[in-house]
Amino acid sequence: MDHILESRSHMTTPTVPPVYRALVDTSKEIGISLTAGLPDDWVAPLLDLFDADPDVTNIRVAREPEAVAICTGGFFGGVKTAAIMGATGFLTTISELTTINLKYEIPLFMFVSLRGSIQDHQAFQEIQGRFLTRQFEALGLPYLVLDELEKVRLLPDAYVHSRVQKRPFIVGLSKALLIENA
Amino acid sequence: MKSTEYFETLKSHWTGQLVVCALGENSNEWWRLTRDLGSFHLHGGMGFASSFAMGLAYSLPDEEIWLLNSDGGVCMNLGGLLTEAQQQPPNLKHFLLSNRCYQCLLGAPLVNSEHTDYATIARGTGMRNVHRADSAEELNEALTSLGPEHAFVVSEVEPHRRDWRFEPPPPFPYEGPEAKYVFARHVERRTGRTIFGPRGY
Repeated sequence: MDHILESRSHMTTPTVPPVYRALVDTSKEIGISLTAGLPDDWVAPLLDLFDADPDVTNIRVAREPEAVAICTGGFFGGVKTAAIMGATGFLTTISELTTINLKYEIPLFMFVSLRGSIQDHQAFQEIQGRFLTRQFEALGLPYLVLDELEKVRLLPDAYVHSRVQKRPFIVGLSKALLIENA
Repeated sequence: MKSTEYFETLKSHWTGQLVVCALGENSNEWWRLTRDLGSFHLHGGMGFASSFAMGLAYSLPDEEIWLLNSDGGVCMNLGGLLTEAQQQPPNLKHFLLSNRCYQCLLGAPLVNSEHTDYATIARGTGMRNVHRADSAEELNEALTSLGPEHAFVVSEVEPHRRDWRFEPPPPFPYEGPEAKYVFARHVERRTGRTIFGPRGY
């Protein structure tokens, strides 16, 4: 098994576009010290950076609802947290977001890739794009579309907003943000 | 072991640790026995009390966290065992009540209930400290032996018959946001941590 794990280590993104570093640095400015998630290819570098950061504990999960529950548990320890996942992963978390976070009014800060938007030409992301933001709205979850680097400065306010609103806040990562700022 | 023996044995070793109760039998019986406002009853997130407890354990490394979980919950979040095995937070003690059914659903049968060996599954994930405690004596022994490392304790508990009643209410008299504030304020008082800021959120 060791040689398999060794191969995995060579798959880590060699050079990370600066936008990912900006997201990590701003998260740390907010005070986020516990993250949990399961990536798609858009957010994989973000999780890699949190993994590598000595100031952050990053928990890799087997399925995205775990990240929701881990970060929610972290809230009760007085720790600032962020759950990180792709759009498809978000769609698997509806039950936990509703029956934990909305039921108990527990805030949660989430990074979610906005797959299936007009710049995403992957056919396997088509359905996600059709329903993702409508899901945010149906659940009454405030969200911010991050489509330019300049907007990263809004993250601290977005975090506080999740606390004021006592519900999950979605930071939606667009392709424009991740690729055009590469 | 009978359900009453199981919970009474747990309570006899409980010295005020923060407790996370999975919904159903664990939550109902722990409340009936302790009336403890410092326990969080996760009446939602089916299967994810274990993940919640892990986040709590990570954020409060100086506190021992007890997770009262059930086989029904594990079946809904088997992957969570892999995450837990990868982390094995030393302050998390995971107690798994296995009654092979959904007790709170009138004993509805659990999938593959005749064959699943949860202790073997846990060992297969790489968890280093797995106990099997199917009698009050064995559970007592397991609880006595708990050290400063992660533990996963599996107990076979007899399902019990209850008179049928449509939509029986859970025994504790509060829910939703009040449950959040009751538990969080308890954690704040106990640990000195700040969960809510000066404006109350």
